[in-house]
Amino acid sequence: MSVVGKRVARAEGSERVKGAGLFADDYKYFGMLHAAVVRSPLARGEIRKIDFKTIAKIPGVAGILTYKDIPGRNCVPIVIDDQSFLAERYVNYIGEPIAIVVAENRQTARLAAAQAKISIEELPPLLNPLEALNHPKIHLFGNDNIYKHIHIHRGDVKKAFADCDVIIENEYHTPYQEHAYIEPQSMIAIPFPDGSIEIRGSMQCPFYVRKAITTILGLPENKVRVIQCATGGGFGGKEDVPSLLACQVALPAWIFKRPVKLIYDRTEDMMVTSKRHPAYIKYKSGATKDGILRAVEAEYIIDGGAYSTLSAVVLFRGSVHAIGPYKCENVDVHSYAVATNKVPTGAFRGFGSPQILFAVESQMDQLAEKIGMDPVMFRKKNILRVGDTTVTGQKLEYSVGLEETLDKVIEKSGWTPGKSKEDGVGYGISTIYYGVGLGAGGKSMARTGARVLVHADGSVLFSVGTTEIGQGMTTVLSQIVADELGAPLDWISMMPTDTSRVPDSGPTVASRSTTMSGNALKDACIKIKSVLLEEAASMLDCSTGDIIFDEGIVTGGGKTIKLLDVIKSCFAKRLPLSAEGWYITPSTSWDDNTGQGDAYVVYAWASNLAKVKVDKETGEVNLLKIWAAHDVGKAINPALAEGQIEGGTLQGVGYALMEDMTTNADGAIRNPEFSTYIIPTASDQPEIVPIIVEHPFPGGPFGAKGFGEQPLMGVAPAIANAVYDAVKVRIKDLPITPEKVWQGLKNK
Amino acid sequence: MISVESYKRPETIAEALKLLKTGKFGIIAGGTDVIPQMRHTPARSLLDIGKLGLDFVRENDNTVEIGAAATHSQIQNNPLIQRFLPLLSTACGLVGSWQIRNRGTIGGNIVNASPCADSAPALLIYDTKVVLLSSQGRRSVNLSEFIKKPYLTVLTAKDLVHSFVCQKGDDSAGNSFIKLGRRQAVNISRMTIAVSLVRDDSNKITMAKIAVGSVFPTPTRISELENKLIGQIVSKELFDETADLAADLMIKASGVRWSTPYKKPVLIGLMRRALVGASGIKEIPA
Repeated sequence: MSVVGKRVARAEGSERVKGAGLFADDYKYFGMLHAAVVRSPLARGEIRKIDFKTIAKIPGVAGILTYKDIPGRNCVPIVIDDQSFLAERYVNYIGEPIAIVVAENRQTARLAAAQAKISIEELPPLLNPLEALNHPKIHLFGNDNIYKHIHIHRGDVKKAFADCDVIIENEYHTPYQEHAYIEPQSMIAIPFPDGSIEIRGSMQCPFYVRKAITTILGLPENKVRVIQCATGGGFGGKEDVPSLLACQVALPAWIFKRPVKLIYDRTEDMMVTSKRHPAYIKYKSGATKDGILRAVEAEYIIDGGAYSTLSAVVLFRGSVHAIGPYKCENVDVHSYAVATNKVPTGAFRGFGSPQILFAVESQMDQLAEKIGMDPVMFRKKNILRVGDTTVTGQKLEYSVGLEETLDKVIEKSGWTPGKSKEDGVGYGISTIYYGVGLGAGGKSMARTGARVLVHADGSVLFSVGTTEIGQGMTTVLSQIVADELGAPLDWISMMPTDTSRVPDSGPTVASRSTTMSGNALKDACIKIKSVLLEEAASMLDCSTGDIIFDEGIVTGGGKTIKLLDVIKSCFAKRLPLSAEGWYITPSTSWDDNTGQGDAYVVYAWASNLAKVKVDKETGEVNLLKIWAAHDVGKAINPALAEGQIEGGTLQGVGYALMEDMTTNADGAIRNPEFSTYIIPTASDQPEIVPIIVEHPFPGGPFGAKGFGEQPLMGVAPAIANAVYDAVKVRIKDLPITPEKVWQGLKNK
Repeated sequence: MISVESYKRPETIAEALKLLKTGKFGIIAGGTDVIPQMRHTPARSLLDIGKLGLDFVRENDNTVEIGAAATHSQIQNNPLIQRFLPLLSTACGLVGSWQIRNRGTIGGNIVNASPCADSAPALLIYDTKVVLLSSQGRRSVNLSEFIKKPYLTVLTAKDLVHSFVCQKGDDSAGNSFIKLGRRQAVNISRMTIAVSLVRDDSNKITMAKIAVGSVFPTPTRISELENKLIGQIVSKELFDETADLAADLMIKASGVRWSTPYKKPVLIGLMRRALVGASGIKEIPA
């Protein structure tokens, strides 16, 4: 291995610093129109009358389109086809798209959309998921408003609780979290005279976008080409939402035969695009006094908003993570994704697990305290190790580095439970895990393609179906290709992700890009390398088994030649140096009714230790330091892995301490602006100590497994546990605001 | 979407006043408040005061005069201000973020008249007068009278804020500035407290100035607290009573609101902390 495992610089790093990347809004096309969306002002109602006569007369307005103009099916397909592209008769949330206005410039389009006259007869909305669940009269989805119910059942909970020495029972609540990607949602559609259409934009999942366009325009897949532009962050927010935007530009582009661009402004983006599901959790857990977790009973309800989008799969992941990374033989978890008349919630780093892990890890500390055992020892007695069985009945055969992550944070911090500390200071721990990849929840999409093309001058171009969204995929995959081919890293380039280059490779979600595209590239490189090996063997006059490729140098039979000369020789002989790679994951299994099965192929593991100081007069929590240890299998690029840890941790700090998005009495987002939705700034970053632990995953490229989401997931409970350690106030409702801590101090 | 009807950047004050006389122009300096506000208002005509030379800081006998277009960064780092108006330097250093401090001006911070303007309590401590120019001439208004209510000042569309004339602080004063927010930067103040105290050798308080932001509808000097302190010997009891009085005055002025259960005890706690800080005494006698 020459570059795998090294801290090479990010492929697009210097471009980004110089501001040179081509983002969607940097593209201009001749004759391009600009779109704006006419949206529902009400959370629930029946559309009575639409009057576009006035706005149609505004100079510069090119046209207004409604569902009647859709040539294909009026649907944005995600998991279940319940979401219309444009509302027909009913609207179900504030901001639901009703019509698209296109104009010669963005300003006119937005102005016209804001002045559209729509009369809607208001119907009573359901805004609270706890009321919506099994509502007797109002049915937003099915007859119970439940998008998905999952039941995980093991052993005999009732009997086990009777045997427990301590039982802790609590209710927890977690709020919305907004992705706050630096680039808002952006999309362009370009129609071509041959009846095809090209979509360029900011996105995680080009194949989802292609499916949406084929659906609404009624086109075959070979007529829709989707190309990802440089994308300024995703975090899950650009998983399904770009499909909506793509429809919003593709329809007018198709009808008016002109390119159309649409960029949401920040407020619109924060009002109407997906967010982390708010959650309501009832959690009861019990242990014996020797520190064994014996029983867990939980109810996990997530607020899915007006359409199902990704709620069912978010719930799947949340449910699989519902008892944390522990052994427990008696479990009864019921989880529900519920419909309400609010903005549809969706994917966000962690995908349904940060909410429930906040409850799980808060419970663990409370159980430990009640037993009189320190929280580290209590966890050590219960954490999963190789050979153990998970809550879903999956036997862990390999790559379980949780205990080492726990040992490492303790070792690096120098902290031990019970160690004396200054007044107001507290330490809190969390141990968590993350099922890597789509797992059984997205089994049918668990495949990826890749293409590798070696040119006559030695330069290498590869294509994959997953996307670079700031996580560093391009660099990591380039490192893998370089080492697989034995070529220097600077020979390697990646094509912008493009649906016409590779077969449908599924989405860029679930921390899957390194393992999935990495393995597909490896498959392609092996095919090319076999040609190179044969040629090198004939040039060196030795057997292929004796040859070593390393960063452009080929040695064998006591001689050394340049890889470039081998490539040139292949070209002279007209041998093919391009190949397609393909990878499918080993099988997973799942039963919704019992919650049992091999849910994911492999798991990543992490321990976080937070140190806080609480101001007892104001309730302010000053986060002093976080140690974060993650088992990543193998860090292909340790600098990027540490970057993921630092960035994810800070996003977790926001979730824990500041980010407080709520809806008003009408069901609208109350704070859709950065002046009122408070996220951490660079100045709020505590000292973060990233620690990489490597328990190789035999099925991953060079032993790697994905972990990009995990750094966010365990931060909130670690901080909550630290606040308790500092001032004995237990916060069960995120975020941990000064008011809540102060109230807790007052109530003591 | 932001749009502008017209934009002028005059190079003399006379020209600026002539344009302002039409009553058509809104003034833009750093733009850190005006530009975001324009997203919600119809297109308007802007007069940029960036070329008028109003970014000065100068010393007179007993005063320091600060041009309306001086940026927060400039004020934070100016040696004259650090020496004679230390609370103002501290306050300007806590405004927004590095970028906002580099662009945002003190004139803009005051004209916007937000209850939480960081520079206002500090300026109030230094008995600041606002110098206004118009085609009618020059006038000077006490800052405490300049801000009438939240987001409203005595300024008319024809006026230009020229400068702020601040009384130099007492060299022997102890100063304390506390800002309560939700994060470390780009932080809108939830409460600001500025305290300046002078005590003699017997720990008797001979001068006290106290101003707060986000406690009353506008940034305010609290003479009741100052009068309570002056002539008294520093003690824990005195500071406790003064802090309690601050909270009573807040409730008297604003009534009990949703935020009061938190704000009242926090105001008491932080006021006490500010008084102790300004007193310069580590162990306050009981």
